[in-house]
Amino acid sequence: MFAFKKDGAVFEYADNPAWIKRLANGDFGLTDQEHATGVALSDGPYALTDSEDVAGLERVEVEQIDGKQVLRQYEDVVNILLGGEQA
Amino acid sequence: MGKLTVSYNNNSIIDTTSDGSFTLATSGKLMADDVGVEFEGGVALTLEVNVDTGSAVTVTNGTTTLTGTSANNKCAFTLPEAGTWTASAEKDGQASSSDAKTYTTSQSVTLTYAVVARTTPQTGISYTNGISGLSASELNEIAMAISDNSDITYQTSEVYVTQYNRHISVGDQISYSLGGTSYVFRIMGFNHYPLSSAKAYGASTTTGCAGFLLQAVDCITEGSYHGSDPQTETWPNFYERTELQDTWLPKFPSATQNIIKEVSVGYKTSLSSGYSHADDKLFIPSRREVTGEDYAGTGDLDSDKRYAWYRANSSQASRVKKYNDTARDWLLRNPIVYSNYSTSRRAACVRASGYVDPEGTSGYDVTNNKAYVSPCFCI
Repeated sequence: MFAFKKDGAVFEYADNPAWIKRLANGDFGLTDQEHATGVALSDGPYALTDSEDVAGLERVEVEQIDGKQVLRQYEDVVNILLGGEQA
Repeated sequence: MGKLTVSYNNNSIIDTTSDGSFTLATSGKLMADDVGVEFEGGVALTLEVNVDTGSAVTVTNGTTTLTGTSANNKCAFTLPEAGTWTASAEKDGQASSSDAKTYTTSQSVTLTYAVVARTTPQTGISYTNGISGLSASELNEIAMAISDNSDITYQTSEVYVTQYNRHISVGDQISYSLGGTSYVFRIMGFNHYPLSSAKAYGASTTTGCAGFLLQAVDCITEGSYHGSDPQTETWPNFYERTELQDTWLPKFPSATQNIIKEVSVGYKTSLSSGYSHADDKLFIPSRREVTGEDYAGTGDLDSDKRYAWYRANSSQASRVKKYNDTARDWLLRNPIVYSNYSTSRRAACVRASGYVDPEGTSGYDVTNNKAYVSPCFCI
C-alpha cells in the first residue's frame, strides 16, 4: 500500500496507484512506478518529481507502507473510542 | 537466354529442342577431350529483391545460398543458374514474407514484413506520433497488430508500430465527419473490449480484443429515453443504444464503418448484482469505466476495466464534454431506475462540471433534464 502526503499529512491511500507520465500528445498516460513523474489519485493528477512534464501540478510525497499495520492502527483507535482495548 | 553449343570433333550440335539433350550424328564413344561447350550471348540472371533497407536478404536454390543487405529498399543478386530460387529477409529479428519462384529470366520480387505493435520503441527507427493521416485499412492493420500482442493490455498507454513507424498513445485524436459535421475522437485505451467475433480481423489474434478503443471528445447528440415504463432500464433496452447503431453508425465514412468492430460490452442487469454482455459497435461507457467506481463495489466482471485514459487523467475537468460549445451532462451505461416513468427517472451521468452522479435513486434526474451522448467504438 502507498500513502500520499501533502505537507507531511496523508490524504490518500492506494494499493495500486495510477503512476503517470506526460505523453507526446500532452495527456497523461499510465506507466510503472520507476518511470512515473506523477500519480493520478481520486481527485486528479499530482507531481511526484520536479520534472518539467508535471510542472504546474501540486507536489505530493509517496511512502510505501504496511497496509495491515495501518488497519490495525485504525482498529485500535476505533476500539479506544468504543471503550475497548487495543488489539 | 544465350545459346548453348556443344561440339564434337569441331561439328556443332545445337540443342534445338531446348530440353538439354543432344543427338549425335554418329555412334561411338564420346571422349570428354573431344567435346567443346560454348555459351554465347548469355545474360546473367539478375534477381532484384525489394525489401526494407537494412534487411539481411537470402536467396537460395537449396544448394547454393547468396546473401546481401538491402540498401535503398533493394538488394540485387546475380544468380549462377536458372532454376527455383527462394528469397527471404530478416530485419530486427523479424522475418519477412518469402517468395519461391522459378527464374529463367531476370526478375524482381518484393518481400514485406508483417505490421508489429510493441510496447517499447526499436532503436534506429524514427517514429511519427499519433494516428492522423492513416487510412481506414491502415488503422485496421495496426489495430490487428495491437490485438495480436498480449503484452499490450487495457492499461497500456503507448505502442510502437513497425512498417508505419508510428508511436501511438492514449489521448491521440482523429476526426470523422458524421453527417457533414466533424467530430473528434480520442484513443481511450488498447485491447480493452473482447471482440464479438474472434476472427473480426480475418484471423484470430492473441488477445481476442479490439486493438483500439475510441470515444468522442465531446457529445454528438442529445440523449433520448425509452418509451416504456419498467422499473429498471438496462443497456440492452436503452433507446440510445438503438439510435447509435441505427442512426449514427451509418453516418461514419463507409470505409470506417467497415473497420469498426463489434465488441462484447458488459452491463449490469440490476443496480446491485447481475451482469451480462451485449454486442455493439457504438456504445457509451459505464461509470466504472470512467471513474473506476461502481454502485455495487467490486465483484463485477469489469471490476478493473477503467479506461486507461480516464485512469491517467483522473481530474474532474478531464470528464467535461461539450455539445454546441457548451459543457453538458452526458449519460453512462449503468441501469436507469425510476419509481414512476413520467416523474422520476434516475441515471448515472457525468455532469457538465465533470462530477459523476451514480446510478440508483440518487442519480441524475433524466426525466426533467437532458443528458447528452458521447459514444465509443472500437477498431
